[in-house]
Amino acid sequence: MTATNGQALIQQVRVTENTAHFVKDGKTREFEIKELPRKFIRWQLDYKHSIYDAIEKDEYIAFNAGHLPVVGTWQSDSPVPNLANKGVGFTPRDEHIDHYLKLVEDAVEEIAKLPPHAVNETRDLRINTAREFYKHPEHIDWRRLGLLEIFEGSTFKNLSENPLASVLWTGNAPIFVSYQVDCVVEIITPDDPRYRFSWAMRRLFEYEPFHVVQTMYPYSYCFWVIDHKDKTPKRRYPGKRSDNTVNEGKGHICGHVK
Amino acid sequence: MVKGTIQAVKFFVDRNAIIDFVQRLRTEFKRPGRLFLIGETSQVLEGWRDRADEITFTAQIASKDRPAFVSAVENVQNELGIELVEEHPGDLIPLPAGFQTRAHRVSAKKLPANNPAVRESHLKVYHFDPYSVSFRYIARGDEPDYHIVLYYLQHGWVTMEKMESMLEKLLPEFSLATIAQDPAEFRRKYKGLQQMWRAISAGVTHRPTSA
Repeated sequence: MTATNGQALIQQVRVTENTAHFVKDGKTREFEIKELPRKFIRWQLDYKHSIYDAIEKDEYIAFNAGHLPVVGTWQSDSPVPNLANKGVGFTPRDEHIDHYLKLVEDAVEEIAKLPPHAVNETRDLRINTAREFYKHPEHIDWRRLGLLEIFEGSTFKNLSENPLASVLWTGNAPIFVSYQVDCVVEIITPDDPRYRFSWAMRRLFEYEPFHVVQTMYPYSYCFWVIDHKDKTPKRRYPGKRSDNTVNEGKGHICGHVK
Repeated sequence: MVKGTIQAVKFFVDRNAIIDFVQRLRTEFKRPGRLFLIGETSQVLEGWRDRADEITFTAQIASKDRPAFVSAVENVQNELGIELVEEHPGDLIPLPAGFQTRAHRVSAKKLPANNPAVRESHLKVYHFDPYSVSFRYIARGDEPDYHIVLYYLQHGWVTMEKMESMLEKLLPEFSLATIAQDPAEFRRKYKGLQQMWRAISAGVTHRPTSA
């Protein structure tokens, strides 16, 4: 990647207020940015606390569905998307990022004084630091997701050409919580506080068994939410579609109320 | 149902917020009545968990006093900026026989009264029958709903045996005419709850080792 191309890459998506502007070949596309829905946020927060409880007890974590959704990216002329499970987290709102960045980077500095494998000795500090962030949902920017790029493979190539992505989370039985979130993607570099925050949060848990240890993160992504759909399965009723337009609505099935 | 606007509403309510809500309501509304806390609201006040999305309650108030009660609730909601939801489980599903007698009176220890108006209030506070609440939330079946029932089970407020015996009588009353009472869906969800109860503790949302 030449310097010029790199610069173009990180400037192709710009965000002002609640609008993301994607500029390519002199044309600008605009996307309205939305906040994630409360029901999804609640699921995420419950999941985070549940995982932190498990890490605290050094339990086996079979899968971390709240953190590892499927991310779909595509080139504009590609017949199929590229799909990959990616670690996805959240970042503080701009007005709170300095506070939480210091908190997490200070913790990373502290744990770095011990060898990486000393996970038991540093567990309390690492867990308490992460919990402190997720304990304050009002300080989190729920309009964006934070991801780290590692391999510069298909996802990176696709996002460099077409900075749009869809993310799909799926939870456990018997509920099968499922959300699709569509995003416009800003590629950001290591000097950006959002990159530093995502990296430091990852570093807190880098040497836990559920992570494959990585040392290179050339970029991070800020996925700005432009749409979301609750795809949690529900029973289809006669005369209704199965697309979640049937909600509980005081229990009545439209057209079947006596 | 009393709902606040999303901008004014905090993400969660904790125990102090629930105590504050009850105290202010008792100060604002001076008539007799019974206030029933429901689900997560009960569980947060009891100290089983840290937070709830909102304060969920129902109230038994004489009809002549109802307008004053609604006005008091709205005033308290505006003061506190928290989400309040008034909902009677019986509006959604048939309730098991004897639900009125299974309400738990909230102990004075859980609701400290810091002024005479609160101490002398005729608005008595209860936890709604946990069996009725469990069935109502199983019927809805969102992920936090299962955990409400798991917390009741974990604290011995409901048992699987009693739930099953009540459901034998209750499920024939469920009707496919409403979503919340779809008996086939209810059975599927209840089976899921049984499996969760065997596999995990309340509050475990991630995929656990033994599931």
